[in-house]
Amino acid sequence: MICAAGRTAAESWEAIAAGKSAIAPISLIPTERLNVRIAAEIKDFDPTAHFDRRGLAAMDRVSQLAVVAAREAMGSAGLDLDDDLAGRIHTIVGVGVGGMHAMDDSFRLLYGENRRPHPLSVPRLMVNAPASHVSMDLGLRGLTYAIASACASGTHAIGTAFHAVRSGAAPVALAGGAESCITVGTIAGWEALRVASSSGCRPFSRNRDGLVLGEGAAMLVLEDLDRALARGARIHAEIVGFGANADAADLTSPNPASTERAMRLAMADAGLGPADIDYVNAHGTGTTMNDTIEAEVLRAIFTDAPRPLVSSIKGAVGHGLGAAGAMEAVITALALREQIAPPTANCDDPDTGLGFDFVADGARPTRLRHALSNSFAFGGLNAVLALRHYDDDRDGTAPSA
Amino acid sequence: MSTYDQVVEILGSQLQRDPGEFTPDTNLEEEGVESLDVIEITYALEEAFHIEIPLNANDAGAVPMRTIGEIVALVDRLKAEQAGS
Repeated sequence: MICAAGRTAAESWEAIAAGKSAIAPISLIPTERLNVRIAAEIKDFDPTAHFDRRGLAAMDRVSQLAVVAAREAMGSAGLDLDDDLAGRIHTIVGVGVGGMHAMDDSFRLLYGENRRPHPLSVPRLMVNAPASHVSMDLGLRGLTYAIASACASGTHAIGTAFHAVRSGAAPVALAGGAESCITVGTIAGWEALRVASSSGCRPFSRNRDGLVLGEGAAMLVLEDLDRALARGARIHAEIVGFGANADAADLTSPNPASTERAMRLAMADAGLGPADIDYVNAHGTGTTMNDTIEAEVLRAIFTDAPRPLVSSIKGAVGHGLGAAGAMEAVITALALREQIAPPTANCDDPDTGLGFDFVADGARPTRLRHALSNSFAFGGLNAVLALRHYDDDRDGTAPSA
Repeated sequence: MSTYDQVVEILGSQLQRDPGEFTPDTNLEEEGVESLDVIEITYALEEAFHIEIPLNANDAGAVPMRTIGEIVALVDRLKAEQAGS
């Protein structure tokens, strides 16, 4: 995982658990034409440290981030990647908008400077580019594609990969999401939509006033549990359920009935009920509407069960759009592993009327058996993952660290 | 600056090589230049010399760009043909 908070999953977890916000004044693009001048940029990312000349020429930043995150995930998984396995691993990368830097640069050259786009604009901007570059970089030759469901892309990618592994269609899958669209054109578009904050992302706080864009990528290696145990893999957490549906209603406002249904589908897929859930990693964008509706839905689900802790990492890492669900799945898995609920950064005036403990006062060590990770996308596409704490001693086997 | 000097500077920059390593006889394919590199080099030459190189990747052999000498000759010819256009 790479995001504004850290260059690896461990670094990101540490910063997010510390309640730090990585949202800052934009410094990587010109801002004179923008009203929104904050974002969660990865300030210290040096592509030349990761890629050779050809890689740099061929890749938009979104693909670079995807490959860096994928290398970390595969390196950490320690798979013995022989020819047979490499031919069977599914690679699924969720992307919201694709190679936005390539598009923005092309449009500026074409319309602004009366010049032509860079000759590699098309392969840079195509929405499958991150998935293709991950596959090429790591030599993974199984079913590979992009999933595009806006802010739920990363969650759909992981959920789909989870079902592939659970069904036996793939022994292992590499899945997640990537996004890098902090460009002048993108931010101007979000400004025009009137949902972006120019002062900060404060999920579930009374003074919340909008979302803040972030960039990043997160990839997870999903492996059949028996296979992982047999090879002594280090298991961070189990993915046990995936629920997804569509509102078929409003373009940008979440629909309470169907977001509730998506969460119930995820729990049913996992064989869980509300009483089993100790933590919800919320979609929590920091917009007035999302946070209000998401809390309303959570209140409905947990009417007859203890209310779980609820937090959003978007105050820390911004809204990573297509990467968001994947970053949140990684953080949720690490929360279960560490038995620590991560805090909601910037929630300095918790909206108590919403009815939940938003972990506003810092990371909370507590017992976390199961967690949900919510993603609700523009276009009314909902995706929810259910994860379980992996108990090392459950089968009397202790996976190697 | 001569066309040759400009061409080797562009190639050096595109290929991340020292332009001093090149000669008119340097063969691009032998230097490991691949098809996507040719596309990028063509674009850079067009931008630098304000010319249009009629390269179509479906018939790449139709435009002589095998050696640096051929590229220099091509650029000079197109500059003359397309001057003022």
